Amino acid sequence: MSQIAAPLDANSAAIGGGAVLSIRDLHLTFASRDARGALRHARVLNGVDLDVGPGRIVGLIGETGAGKSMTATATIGLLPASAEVKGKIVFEATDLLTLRGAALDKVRGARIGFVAQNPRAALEPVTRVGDQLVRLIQAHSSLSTTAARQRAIEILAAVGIPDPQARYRAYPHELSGGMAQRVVIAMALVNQPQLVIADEPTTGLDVTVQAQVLDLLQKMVRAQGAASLIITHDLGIVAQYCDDMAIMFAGRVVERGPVAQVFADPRHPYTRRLIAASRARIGNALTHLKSDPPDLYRQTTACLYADRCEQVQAVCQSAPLERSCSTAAPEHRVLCHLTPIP
Amino acid sequence: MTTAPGKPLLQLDNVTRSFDVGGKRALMAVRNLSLQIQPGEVVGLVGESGSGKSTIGRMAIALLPPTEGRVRFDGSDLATMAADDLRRLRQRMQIIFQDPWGALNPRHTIGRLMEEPLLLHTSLTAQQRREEVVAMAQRMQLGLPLLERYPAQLSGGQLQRVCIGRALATKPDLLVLDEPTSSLDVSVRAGILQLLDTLRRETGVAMLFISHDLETIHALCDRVVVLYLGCEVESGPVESVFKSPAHPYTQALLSAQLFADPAVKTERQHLQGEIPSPLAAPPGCPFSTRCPVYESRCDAGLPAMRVDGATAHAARCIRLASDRFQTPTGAN
Amino acid sequence: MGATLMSWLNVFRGFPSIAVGLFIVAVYAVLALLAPWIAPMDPIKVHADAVLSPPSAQFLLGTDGNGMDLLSRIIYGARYAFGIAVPAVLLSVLIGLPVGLWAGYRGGWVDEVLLRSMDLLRVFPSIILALTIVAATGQSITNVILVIGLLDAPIFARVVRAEILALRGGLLIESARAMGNSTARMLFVHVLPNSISGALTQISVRMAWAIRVSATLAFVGVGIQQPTPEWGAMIRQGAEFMVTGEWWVALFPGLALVTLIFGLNLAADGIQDWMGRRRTHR
Repeated sequence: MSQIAAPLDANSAAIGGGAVLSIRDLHLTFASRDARGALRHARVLNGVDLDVGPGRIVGLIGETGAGKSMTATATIGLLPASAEVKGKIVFEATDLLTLRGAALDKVRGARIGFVAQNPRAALEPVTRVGDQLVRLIQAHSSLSTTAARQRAIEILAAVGIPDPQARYRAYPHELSGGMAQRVVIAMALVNQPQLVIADEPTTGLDVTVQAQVLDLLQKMVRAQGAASLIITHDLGIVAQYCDDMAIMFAGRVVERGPVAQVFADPRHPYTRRLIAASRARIGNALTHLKSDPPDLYRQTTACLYADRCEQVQAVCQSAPLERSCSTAAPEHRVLCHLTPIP
Repeated sequence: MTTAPGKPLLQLDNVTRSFDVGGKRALMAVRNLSLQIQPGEVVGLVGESGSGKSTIGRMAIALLPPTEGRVRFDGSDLATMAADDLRRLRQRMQIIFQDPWGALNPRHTIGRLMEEPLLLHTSLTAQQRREEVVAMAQRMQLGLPLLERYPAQLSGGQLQRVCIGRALATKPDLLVLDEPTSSLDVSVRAGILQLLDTLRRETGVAMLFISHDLETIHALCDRVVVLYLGCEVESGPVESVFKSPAHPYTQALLSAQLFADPAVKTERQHLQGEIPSPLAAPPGCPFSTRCPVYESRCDAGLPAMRVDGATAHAARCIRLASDRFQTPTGAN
Repeated sequence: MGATLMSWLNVFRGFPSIAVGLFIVAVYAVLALLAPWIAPMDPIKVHADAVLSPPSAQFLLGTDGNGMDLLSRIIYGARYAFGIAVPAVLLSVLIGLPVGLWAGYRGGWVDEVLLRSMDLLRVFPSIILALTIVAATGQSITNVILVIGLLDAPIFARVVRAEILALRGGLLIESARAMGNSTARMLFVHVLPNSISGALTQISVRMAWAIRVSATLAFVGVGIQQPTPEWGAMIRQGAEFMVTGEWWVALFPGLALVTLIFGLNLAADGIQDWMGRRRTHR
């Protein structure tokens, strides 16, 4: 008979010691009108807890609508004005959610680097690639233009762009997808950030190029000693490139911990389902389960996975989830009523 | 099954497709490709961007005519058929696209969408059509209330099931699937693939499965054809190709797979550069710009297809051991 | 029936611009339809003893320079507004939709001709063009309708063409063909219904435009003239009297004109928003 998990202890609620990025109880709601004009609230993030340790590469994985991109957007302060956000995002002893304007600009691009999903959207189409790099360098340092240009060419070479001197003068549309993404990685890393956030960095890239780009990202992040948060829907990327992982569903982190541990001993039913679905494709016993995306307009504090869960019990539909999650091992955490206490 | 035994259901003979891109330049999307699908067979087409796989899929069901070569369905040349005959033939060959939202008319209800193939190709009464639609919805595990809804109200997985249901309504002999699960979430994918596998076993429909995802192809297909820049570089039984890939590109492709298991680390073959633009295809072997075992002989011309007679495993590479891989007489 | 009514009310609640705009248009439409029963007096009856009299109990909005009751003339003026706008826009749609359909789907010389004629229209301000043509061919209502209708047709064609080009970039047409649709069926069942939302918005906009153009033509002296109770003509006469202090003669027809045009544009905006929302969310 599985026990109901004990409530959170006081320590785990405290800001994680030594972590580069600590997100605590992040809530994000969007108000909108539906096709009939009625007002409704989409609860995109429902209490996200996440830590990125120093020098660690954390994979944030989830499917469409899980809220993983929104978590990144909230962290770098790019939420639209209509977003209602609550909680704490602590980076270098500051709560990023309290920063505005110039203070926020100092962090973005210099202390936190961002690799966007679509390089064509991230790069300015009318400015040469090298000039964009120089602009970024000079925004956060006092280097002269000549020195900045030199630095730009250095980093273009470091990301594996052949003939960087010539490529400096290229416009983004003249580069292939893989090349453009390398430039975006260069821009994210050029100012030696503490944290690199990569949002689905290989979507749309060919399989053979994807491996190249991920190898590069991992290499450079490690070389600079930075921490990294990679957002993806691909468990293969998490398994092969990340140290830690966090699985999101319906705006909550349902399980997180070191990659080897979570794969070896997945505790949350959703994690198990994701892993099974990412491997053998046919004859998988779990394929008969419902797989409709969660309804973000439902107002509930109970478990949002309960409708799809094969282990669902009565308590899952009723008891608020905030108050009953447990620790399987110190770094391996699960948000589930039914996880036995170790 | 209306085809004679041994006679291929779909046959592409030396098919080439080029697009005019202004000036005197032509983009060769598909080059001199030959392909056969037997009744009931599931053939996978694997390739990355620029491989021409989507173009081949469209040529197979006459959505695009070949610039050279012939496409034959059950012996009939699709390019020379009368428009009406071709239209009627379509009930025997259907396609499922990657993007279910784009393929369905957003103003029609699901019920009406699923009824359309029956309306176009059968002479059933409205009542009979309705019954067929209900039966098909149940086979696709779609709840009946969904029949009154519109595409925008369904999820990707549900919509793809609608598309599969539509495609199978006229009991086709051939189903072309163009990346049917690429735009779906991982947990939804497995369900769709299971469904396809079940349908294939129940109806014996032949499939041309186009994908860039090797694991899916491995799970579902009998044979696989690997494409690069519009050329076939390797083909053969799925087990043989995946276990012992002969062509350097196939080897690189397999090594670039990322397994969802941290304990399994593949030795990555690092390919230099990227896929060249189809407008500037290399003169000889298309893979010559990135091949790790490139030699100057590779520029001489498109290598001939070499076949291992025992396994019907074939590849286009001049470095293949000639004792095992023979160039068939009269080969291209 | 109750459910449909509820959903319409919800639409109005979410998109008040549609509600307000349509309400305004509806009011004017009622005025136009029921003019003989609503108007207090005969619009072209001359009250020689009350020329240029200010708003009063007898003449609620005053009288104009000919002694005709302004209120009645404004009410009847709605007939002219709709009487010109509706046929003109109908003409534009009947010509523009098929041309746009062909140009978008087939391309070829029809597309070229359409694009060049659009370019031509962009060179000449359409009001000047309308002015010149009507002045040359005669100042009748039919001419005004014909000119406005023809000048607006390319706009409908262009809007439909753009949507069809967008459709061609997507999968719908390919999917319909692969299913076994004949070209005719594909066009009528799949392509057309999905490419007229822009045209529907334009109907409201072009109606506002048609009313404005006919008023302008009348004001300039080229279109409909006195004593016909057309708002533009009324403003023309009223302009002379503004200087001498009889402000009501120009103001009330002006307000009527502006309000109706505003209502039409408001409704058009709302419809556009609603259509855009409908396509993605439902």
